[in-house]
Amino acid sequence: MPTDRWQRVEHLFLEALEQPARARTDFLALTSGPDAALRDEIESLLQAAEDSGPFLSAPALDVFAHQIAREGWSVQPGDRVGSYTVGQRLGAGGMGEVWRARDERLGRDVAIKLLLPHPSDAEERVRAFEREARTAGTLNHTNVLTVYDVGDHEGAPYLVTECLEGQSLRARLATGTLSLDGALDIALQVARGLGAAHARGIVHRDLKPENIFLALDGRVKILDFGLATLHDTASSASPSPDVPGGTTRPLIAGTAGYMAPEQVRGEAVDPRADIFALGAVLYEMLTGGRAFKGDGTLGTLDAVLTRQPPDVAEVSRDVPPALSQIVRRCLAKSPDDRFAIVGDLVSALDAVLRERHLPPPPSLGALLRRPVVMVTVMLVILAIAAGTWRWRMATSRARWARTVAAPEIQRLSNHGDYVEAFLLARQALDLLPDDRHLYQLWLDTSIPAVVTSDPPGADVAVASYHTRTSSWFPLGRTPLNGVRIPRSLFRVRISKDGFQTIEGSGRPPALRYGLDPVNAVPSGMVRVVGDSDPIRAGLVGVPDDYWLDRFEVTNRQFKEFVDQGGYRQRDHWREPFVEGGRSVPWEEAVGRFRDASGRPGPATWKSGTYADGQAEFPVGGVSWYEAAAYAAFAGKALPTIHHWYRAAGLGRFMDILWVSNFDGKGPAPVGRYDGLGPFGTYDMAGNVKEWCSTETSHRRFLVGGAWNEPMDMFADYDAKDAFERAPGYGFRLAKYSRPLPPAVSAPVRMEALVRDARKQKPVGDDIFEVYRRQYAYDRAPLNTVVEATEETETWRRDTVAFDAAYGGERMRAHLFLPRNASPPYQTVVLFPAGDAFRVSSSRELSLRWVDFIIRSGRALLYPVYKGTYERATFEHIGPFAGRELRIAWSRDLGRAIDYVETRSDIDPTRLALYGLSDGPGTAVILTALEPRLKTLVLQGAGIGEPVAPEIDTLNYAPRVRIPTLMLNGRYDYETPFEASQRPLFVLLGSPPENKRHVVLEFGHAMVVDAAAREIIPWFDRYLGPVVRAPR
Amino acid sequence: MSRRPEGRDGGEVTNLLRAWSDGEADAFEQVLPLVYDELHRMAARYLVGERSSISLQATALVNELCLRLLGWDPIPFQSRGHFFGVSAGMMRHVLVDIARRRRAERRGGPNAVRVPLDGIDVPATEPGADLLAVDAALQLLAREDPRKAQVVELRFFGGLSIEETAEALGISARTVHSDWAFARAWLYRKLSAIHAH
Repeated sequence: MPTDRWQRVEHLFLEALEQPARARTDFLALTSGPDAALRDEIESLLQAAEDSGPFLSAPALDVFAHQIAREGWSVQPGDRVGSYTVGQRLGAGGMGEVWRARDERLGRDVAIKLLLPHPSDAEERVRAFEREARTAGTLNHTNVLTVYDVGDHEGAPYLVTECLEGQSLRARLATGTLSLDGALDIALQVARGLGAAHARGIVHRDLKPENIFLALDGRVKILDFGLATLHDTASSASPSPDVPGGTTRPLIAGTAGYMAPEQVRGEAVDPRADIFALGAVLYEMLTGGRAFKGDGTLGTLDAVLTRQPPDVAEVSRDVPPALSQIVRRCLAKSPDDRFAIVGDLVSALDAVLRERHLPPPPSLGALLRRPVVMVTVMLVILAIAAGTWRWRMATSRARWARTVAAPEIQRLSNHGDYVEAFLLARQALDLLPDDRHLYQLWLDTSIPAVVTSDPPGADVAVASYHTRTSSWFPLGRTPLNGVRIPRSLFRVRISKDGFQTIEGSGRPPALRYGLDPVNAVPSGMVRVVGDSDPIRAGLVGVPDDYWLDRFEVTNRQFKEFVDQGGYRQRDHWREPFVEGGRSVPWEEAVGRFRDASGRPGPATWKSGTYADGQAEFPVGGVSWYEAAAYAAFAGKALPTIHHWYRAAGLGRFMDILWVSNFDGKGPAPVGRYDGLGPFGTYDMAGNVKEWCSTETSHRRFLVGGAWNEPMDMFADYDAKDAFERAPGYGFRLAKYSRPLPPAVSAPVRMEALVRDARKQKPVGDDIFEVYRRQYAYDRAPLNTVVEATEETETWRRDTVAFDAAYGGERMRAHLFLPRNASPPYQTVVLFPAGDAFRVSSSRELSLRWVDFIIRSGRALLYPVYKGTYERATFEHIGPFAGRELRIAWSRDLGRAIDYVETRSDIDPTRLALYGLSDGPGTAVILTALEPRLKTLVLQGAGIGEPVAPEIDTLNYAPRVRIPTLMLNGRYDYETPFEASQRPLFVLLGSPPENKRHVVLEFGHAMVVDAAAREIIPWFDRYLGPVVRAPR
Repeated sequence: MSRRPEGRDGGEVTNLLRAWSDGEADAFEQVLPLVYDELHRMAARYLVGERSSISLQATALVNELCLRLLGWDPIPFQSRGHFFGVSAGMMRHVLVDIARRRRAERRGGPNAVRVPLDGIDVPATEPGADLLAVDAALQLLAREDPRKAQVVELRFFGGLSIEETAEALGISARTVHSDWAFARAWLYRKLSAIHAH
């Protein structure tokens, strides 16, 4: 019972709270009288009340749950569970947590699912679970999550499985509906996985979208087989009937809508219960809604037992009746009315798929642009189709995929038609998800990417880059995490109801878009998403989004300025007129800006106006001052060079150049050419050059190139005197949301933009020897283990692991041996392109750039260098870390060669190094240090960015003495021809008759066929012709 | 605390729960050890799982527990209020127990700050997040003013609203409101003092 004093304190506290804050002190003085202790007590309580904020406002359960979500329940990062070291928590569910962990013995990442501790009387159940887990562990099926190990950690059972990247079907469904084909594909893969398990006597018992995982590579995996047995809890206190099969009361918490009626009732459960669950999942994929949903768990269970969900075909109109029938059958209340075995379900789903894809859908025809090819392919398809009505359908589909689709995908890809290759590969893989060759082609044409929009929920579709088109291929709805997109430039469309649709050129790996409501976009402008990273060396980042004109300013628009007296109003002319250091008075300056007949206006006009029919042509023959004045008139601004290049569309793929106006004939109406930029701009490349606000040495930048200039000028910097006017000089405008920071609006020095290697000299031999010694390593035993072997029609791959030359590490290499040649093989060793640093597993490596080498009868050695694939490092790459990395690479290469020297099927006297997409010329460094190489092929190399001299390509090039082929793209803006490519070529120490520089009409990225045409003859000459395998 | 006496049949729990619902307060003490394990596991499942933003009430948890144990026959509690009170108390027991075990297991002592591998700093617990401290302070409060401690138990551990708390205790909503304001200030002051050391 509270004391009197307590009650008094309480009473006063509450009354004080009712006073306005200012009055409280007085109130207390008044009411507590001489009792200072009382007053202090209440004041401290009042203070506490004020400070307490959210204290206790969230229930304990929630607070605790958040804490546990942060700290983890069963383990902490760094703990050891069995022989695994726990890393990051990947997720959690009602059954337990999933953690990423490292298998220290095998050096790979795994996923550990730690279940909540079992009750002590559940020994039998735990043992049953372990038995089942071990059986699942021997289930080696592509659609079942591979189980590596099972164990017990302090009373909590755990399961060690492969670690996958992707998302659950539940997460996927939350972001939007699936296409019909997508749903069918998933259902078929799940059904196949179930089939494999049922054949072993394992029933899943808890199949639901949370347990179906969609991996990044397109495979679907079923998770958590048999875990349901562990969680069919029933305390010994409950009157549960003893049921054969071990199922007692079912687990609630979300599973309710997928459980078969017999399971709900607690009866015996056989594989047909899984069929029911799959039916419910399929229902949800097709309609977007659950089959059985009621008021709470009980209501849902009741629905399962007693209610029939509406027909799929009624809810979703494009579902074929046959499919609707299949779903109905799966969801039959009595197991006897369902499919007897999963195999029957697979056949039924297959039949639906065939109906949809034979003959192949019209979109295939649209993909193949060239009529000759189209006819050929269609003939082949028709030929197959004609003969198939009596064939087993599965055979013909496989045949189509192998004999038509696969070669066509390869051909399109080698020819540079990447988006078409991508789309065709997707279709083929949808039909034949297990085909290894198609899967590799799929990897070769695509890369996982992230597409986000603000706000989310926008539809994303892709199409071929080269022509404006209406055949868009939908990818899904943002946010898309891990969706595979074409590995090249493509056209992308982002649309959402009520918002302005964005169409731009897209390239991997991350696409971010800001959406604007339809009427919130300034007329004729597009939103450019800012980035704090600069788009090119020497420029600065522009973190804020901004608007940019979609097109260059036209004659018609400029005429408004002229007609409204723009040349007479001083207000618009805010930039000081300076020439040769001296200031020019306004009247004199503006007096210079006259057209061909002496009236104020652009140099290309006459009599105060433009030529007939040229209203929509870009205005040309204007000085920088006139452009700035127009900008003031229009309430906008000239873009800085940083803003301009951010939006321009520079990249490895310079396809924009081929669809822009560099025709030499004259300007074209704005937007006539198809050269689309990443944010929806046109004519950034070509047509007229565009003035920027940025100053350089008293001149202003003029960028993008004009119709009468070579294509190089898109990427090359140019600057002219601000008074200068030429027909090719025009501009477009930008609009910013707030004033630009000084770093962005400041002048830029031209020298800062490009390293000119012509001006530098390599170091002398004595210093070079010091550099060379850093790379040496001791030849310790390799301790090789052959981890896996795999075969396709073209190659056999051995994946091997051996000791690295440092740090007690192990490294891995993939050796592809050609099937069309005889050992001992010539071997080409690869140093890969940037994708190797962005893809997380070397099982997903792309063979696009080396397939032709293997087909030429040579072995391909692909070491997993430090920092690539699974050996990715997350250290900050500063100057010293960069050096360590190069030393590691050199040693990795050395070890990999040490390894192949031990193989009798490899000819160690015929080794080549192939540096792919090697901007900084790393392969040059490696070659200078590795005496066992016979020839070097460089693609996309030059003297790169300035770096520490001990890792500067400049210093190693003279020490390369072996025959070297350099392949470059003329329009490679990162490795420009004059300043970077040519100096490297000149410096190479190979005798002049043994080195060759081939410059092709590409940007940094070139097309496989073109490269292969140069590379294969080079290898034939310097490694020798290949001995083909006898037939 | 969690004894699992051998040989007892399921009827025991059912009877005790019915006795509970009929108003026999003692029955709570007796049945708690029997259902404790189950509640512990259920709480763990909720705590560990990634749930949506809908916060879970302790009452839902206990309700489910009863359903499971009694085979889908919801027992009619004598009054909602009674049920609320019982649930909150059980939840408090379970959560405090779990918190105590976790503290004992974690490396580095009770107030260690660990940095997970993703590099995000885990802040030292703010007063409300330390359940054991709140529980201890609440026990001190109960000695001075049992009703206020009950209000806190119902609202914080039971997740009940002001109205539900009023119903559970048979007092007015206004009284609950005042009790809550005072108790929060008092507890906050108590915990800040502890924290400062």
